[in-house]
Amino acid sequence: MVGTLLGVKAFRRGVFVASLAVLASAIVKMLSNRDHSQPENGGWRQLAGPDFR
Amino acid sequence: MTTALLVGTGAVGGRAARQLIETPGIDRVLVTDRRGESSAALQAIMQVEAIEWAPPQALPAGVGVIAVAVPDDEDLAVARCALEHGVPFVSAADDHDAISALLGLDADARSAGVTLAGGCGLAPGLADVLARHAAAALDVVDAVHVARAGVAGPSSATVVRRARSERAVEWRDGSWQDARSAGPELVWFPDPIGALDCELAAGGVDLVVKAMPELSSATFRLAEPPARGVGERLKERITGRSGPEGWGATRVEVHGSRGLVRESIVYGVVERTAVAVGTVLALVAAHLSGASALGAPAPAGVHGAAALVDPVLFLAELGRRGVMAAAFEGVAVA
Repeated sequence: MVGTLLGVKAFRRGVFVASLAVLASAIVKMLSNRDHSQPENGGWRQLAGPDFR
Repeated sequence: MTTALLVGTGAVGGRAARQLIETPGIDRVLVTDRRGESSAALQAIMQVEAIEWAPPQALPAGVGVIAVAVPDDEDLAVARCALEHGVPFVSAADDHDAISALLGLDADARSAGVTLAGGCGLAPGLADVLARHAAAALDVVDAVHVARAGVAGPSSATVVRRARSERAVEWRDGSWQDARSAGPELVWFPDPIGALDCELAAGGVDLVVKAMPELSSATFRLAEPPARGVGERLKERITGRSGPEGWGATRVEVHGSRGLVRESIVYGVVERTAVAVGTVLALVAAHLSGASALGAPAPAGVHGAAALVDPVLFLAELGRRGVMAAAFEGVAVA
């Protein structure tokens, strides 16, 4: 009975720590992406003569 | 007909040699490298003559142009030698310090009537030509932002890593200023490279600003070179040759206005880095030697590629040799 309670406590502690880790990584990722420009919508077209525009 | 002297026969030098051989008007290509076996190996597979030469020795007779693809700290001595002999000089060196040192020869080159071309690689180099090409389509040009991904050999990778970690500068309101620490920016290069984080760096747009001093803003960003494994580094050290070449790309954004309308033009290139750099180096060398007419006669002094060639003629010849430029068509979306 005591062993089961200790196991549940350890499991809850583990879930809590894992949640914190996920939250922290999400915050770090959000901050590191702050300066990034937005993705672009479009594509590359090969330049061709005579004016190469 | 003219003779070209190619100094440096590594990844870029090998490609440049191939392009020089295939240039009508260049009938003789001399190659030299501090590693003599490297130039001898090139002679075994191409129609080039391997020679032993290093500055300050006298130039071999008949040399009409010197093209240099050596680590950045070695090209200045060759440039001085070219200046003494009155022979045009082209370098692919892209390091900020190397370009600054070359610019220090500007007054001497002008008074001697000799053209010294610096930063003739992917970016700086081809990027400068694309920037000038885009600028020609606008009435007023405000800003040029250049980014580059890819390296051509271990020396180039070292230069890029150092440039990313050192103090960056940007051209703002008519002067060079310390770049604000904005962190990396995601830059979208043509496929297969795609989006990469790029850090602000110094040196890549020095010659663009020299060619277009009216700009109010100019920046240069570099992507992190791909990491190499321990085995690959060991193999390079033993064989003296770099591993398989990766892709390289440059992206050039030019902002300005046409009439009353604000416009942005984005050009890019993707190619094997050493191929692109070697081709640009060879084409500028061919132009300076008079073997290829890719623009007006080159002015004396130290210049970048943008000030030396006509962009349309240059892009046409580049495309004929397999290096194709592209325009980005689209908009940034939220």
